[in-house]
Amino acid sequence: MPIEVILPKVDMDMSSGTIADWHKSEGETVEEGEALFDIETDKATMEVESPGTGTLHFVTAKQGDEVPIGQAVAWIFADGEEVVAPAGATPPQATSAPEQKPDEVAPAVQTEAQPTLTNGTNGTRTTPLARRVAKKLGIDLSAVSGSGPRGRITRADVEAAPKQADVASPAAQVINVGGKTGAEKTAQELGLSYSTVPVNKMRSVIASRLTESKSTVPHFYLNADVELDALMTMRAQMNSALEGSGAKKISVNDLLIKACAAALKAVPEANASWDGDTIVKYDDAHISVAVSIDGGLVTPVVRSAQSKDIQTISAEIADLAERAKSGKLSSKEYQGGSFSLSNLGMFGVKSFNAIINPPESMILAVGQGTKQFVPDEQGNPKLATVMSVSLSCDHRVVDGALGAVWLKKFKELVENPAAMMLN
Amino acid sequence: MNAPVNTADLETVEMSYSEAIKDAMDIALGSDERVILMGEDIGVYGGAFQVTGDLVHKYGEERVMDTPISELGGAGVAVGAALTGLRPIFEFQFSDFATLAMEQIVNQAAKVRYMLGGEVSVPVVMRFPAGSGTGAAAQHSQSLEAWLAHVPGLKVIQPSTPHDVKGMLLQALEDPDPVMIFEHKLLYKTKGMVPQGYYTVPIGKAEVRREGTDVTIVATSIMVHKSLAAAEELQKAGISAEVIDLRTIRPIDPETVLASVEKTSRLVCVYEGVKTLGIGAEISAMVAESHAFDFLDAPILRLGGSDNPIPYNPELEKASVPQVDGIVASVADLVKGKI
Amino acid sequence: MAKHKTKNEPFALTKYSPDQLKEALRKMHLIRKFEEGAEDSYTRGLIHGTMHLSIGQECSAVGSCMPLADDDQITSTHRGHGHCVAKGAEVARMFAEFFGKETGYCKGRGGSMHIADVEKGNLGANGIVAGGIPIAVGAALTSKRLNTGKVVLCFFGDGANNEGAFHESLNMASVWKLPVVFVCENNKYGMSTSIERSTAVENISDRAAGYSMPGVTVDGNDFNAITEAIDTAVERARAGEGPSLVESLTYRWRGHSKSDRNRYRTKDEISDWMSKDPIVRFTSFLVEHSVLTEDEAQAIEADVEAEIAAGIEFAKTSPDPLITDVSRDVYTEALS
Repeated sequence: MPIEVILPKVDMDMSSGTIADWHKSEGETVEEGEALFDIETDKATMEVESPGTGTLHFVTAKQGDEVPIGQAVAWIFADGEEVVAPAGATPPQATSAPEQKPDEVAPAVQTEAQPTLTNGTNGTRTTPLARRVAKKLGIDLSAVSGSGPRGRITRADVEAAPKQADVASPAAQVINVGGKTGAEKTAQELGLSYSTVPVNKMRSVIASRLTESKSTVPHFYLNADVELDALMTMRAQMNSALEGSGAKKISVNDLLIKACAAALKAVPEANASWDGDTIVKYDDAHISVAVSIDGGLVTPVVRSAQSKDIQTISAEIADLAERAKSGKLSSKEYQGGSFSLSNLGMFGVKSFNAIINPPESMILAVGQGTKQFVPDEQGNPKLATVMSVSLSCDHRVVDGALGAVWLKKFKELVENPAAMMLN
Repeated sequence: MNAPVNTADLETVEMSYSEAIKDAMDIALGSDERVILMGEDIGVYGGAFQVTGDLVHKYGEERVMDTPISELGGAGVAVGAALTGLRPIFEFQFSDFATLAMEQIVNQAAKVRYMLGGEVSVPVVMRFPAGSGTGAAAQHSQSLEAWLAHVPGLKVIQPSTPHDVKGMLLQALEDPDPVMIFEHKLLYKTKGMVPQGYYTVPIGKAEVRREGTDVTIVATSIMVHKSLAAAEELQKAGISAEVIDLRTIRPIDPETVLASVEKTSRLVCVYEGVKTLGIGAEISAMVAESHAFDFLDAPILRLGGSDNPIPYNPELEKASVPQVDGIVASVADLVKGKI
Repeated sequence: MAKHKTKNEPFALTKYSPDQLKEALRKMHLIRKFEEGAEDSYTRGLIHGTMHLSIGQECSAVGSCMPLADDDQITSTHRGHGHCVAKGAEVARMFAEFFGKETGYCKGRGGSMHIADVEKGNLGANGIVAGGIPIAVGAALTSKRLNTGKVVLCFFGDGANNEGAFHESLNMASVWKLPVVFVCENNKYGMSTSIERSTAVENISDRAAGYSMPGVTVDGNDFNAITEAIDTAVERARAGEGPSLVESLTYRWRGHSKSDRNRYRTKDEISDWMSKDPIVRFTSFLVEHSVLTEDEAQAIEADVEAEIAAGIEFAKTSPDPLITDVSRDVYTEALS
């Protein structure tokens, strides 16, 4: 019996993956454990190893194909085994990532919410009764997902649909991710010169998550200025102590992470997530650190940062960032954060308001530290390095006062960094 | 023609399916001199399935006629007699032997009226003991009602209860056209309440035996009983099945079936005849062609006999036709959206 | 009125009046000219399908029906035009049926092979060989059961005598002693297969013994012979003594149907039989016995010609059935 090579589930909430690259091709020999192909997931590219040794045949999925998890994409035949097509060795419907065929996707999410379009739109199956009910209720069938065999839409599916539509506010329809804004159409009409880039998995995930966040989480923002001088002095002391040891230098960002963690430990009510009918209060501070990567953004998590020393944090951050950039993070490493830190200071940004990473309830946006004149205790101007921070809060979990308390604590820790050393 | 009778006014008595048939024939022989019975061994032997019983003692050999083993000739004699003023009831010993008489049934009985421009009628009744389950094997166990129902000019009925078989046989004797009655052998001993005296049950009208909301099961003959048993089981699983006893195969009652499908949005046909090209195919197509199509929320399912002659071995024999377990499983799958 | 029978006087003369005999001649002419008229219409494309002509068998048909009362019944075969006329049908309505018209005996639904005239006791021609035999027995059963006194004459050909239905029917008719007369018009060929090659007995009437009934073979083209044999059988039936088998030897001039190329018989055989035209023979007989004159005979023929012409005209001008009536009369009451 040939060994089936399936598209494995490598991520939580993953229902399908796109084949990013094949390392082996039809007829090549493969060894168990050898890299066979790469899957592109929400956040990263995952390498899939060969489940067996032999020759690769009936490769049914090609680069760019989106394949449901568990579906076979190839078979490995042992030496001497008769090479016959196993059941299911037909290429799946070559559904490339939907975004690559924008025309096909477009009618599906027209904002006018037309009732039943032409037949089961885009080849979906719909029972006659479902069509009838959809027409009666004014439901767009293309927005309904079918629970029947082969994705068939039944009456029950149509009747369940309005519940989701009810929840979404009218504004939500306009923000519908993936929807055409008409930019290309206008450009074409006006004869503007342009080029297009297909929306890939990561971009699409960013788009949908942040759109969802921005439109469903009640954000409010607290701003503060923080003097960095004391922190920078401590940093210099640390780095000079490390000199000659070959260890990585501590960065300001590392210290800010530590400060965030410590502040969360001191104000635990703010270390929580909204979960519908529950609020999840984390025991530890898991700091998601925004890392800019090619074409996007990833937020690897420093787990339980409040109990880690600064060196550990520093090394971890460096490692996470590097692997994030090369797409080698595992899903566990970018999920399960309780707080986010985003620093655009190195780009010269004075201040900004970040969008919360759901299900976290706060994100601290840090700008560039610049030299400014501030009044001292006597009211005389003194030169200080001032950094503007903005704390975005999810009002469902963090009220104004709570957010303010946390921000005050954070500022205290940064301006009196020795306190960060305490547990 | 007898006046319609309100059965609510009649006393009922419990009797078996075969006793009910005999009762009908007794009433007919006693009230209409044109009625005669013809068949093999229906006289002193009482009929292969003991349906005619002692009728010969009551009415004599000229009214209860034993024929030689001549299905073709005998059926033809019945046709000729019906054509010229008698009301014969011809009993085939097994429905399988209809094959020997197909010429007279299909080319003559069904067509004489039409070929003669409506100048004559052929009011012949033919009775066929049918179906499997007695270990009689391939040539004595068939369900050929679909063959005859395919022929315009014939009427084909499959009563499933003692009440219905008596009433429909009496109705058949009122009918000026050829009526073919398929009686499942395993029903002969089943009992039910039957009104005493004369009454009729309409030909061409189906009956809802059990009301339900999740799925319509259209069944015939013994499959009505299996479907009702299945419906009980299904109810325990929270599935509400409506069971329709089709009763007449030609003409099928479209109104009852379509109204039910519109209500439940799902249809399962259960019949003993071979599934392929059987009556379930006709019912399915009839529904799919009709306005009820727009109310279907699932594919239409047929449960029928398998594509093999009825085997001798009892387990194989049972496996060749739908059984309660199979009906339950298939209907459940359909309602749960697995099909 | 019947004359006193003198020794050796021909049967027909003793049994039938001159008017009856002239009527018999007229019917023979009617059949002959009907067949010829139908044939002509067919070749002109006015008749659909095919036809099985009985030219040459007129005497057998007319002679067999002579002994029957008006309400006695017959069943007929695919070669049944002659029987139909012999039993008293109007040629106009027969032509109309062949032309597929609504005014035909079967309203255009039956055509040649299913021609019937129920009012005159003709229960219908049958497209199935031996299809009408059990039906005839059934009709005889009705007669006995309801005591109507009717006798049923069952026509069939030599080919039918090998069908299972023939054997089953003769057996049952005999067992139940039914008032039916089985008349086998043996014209030597069942379509293309001769009697010698198909039938295990020398004479079809030999089979009667196997069913315990009288059997006789006669020259069907001899009016006296056929009427006498049938008359005996009818009287036997009417007396309640049961069925008989009469084999009527005759010959058809034309092929089995319009598609027949006559490859199975010789031209000599055909012309030999044609030279023994039964109508000529009967005419001579009547003239010889002063039942009518040559002139009268010719007048009858001319009369018949006119009737045929009028019949064809009637058929041509009759209305076609309505397409919307295609399913009418499948059942006696419209299905709800």
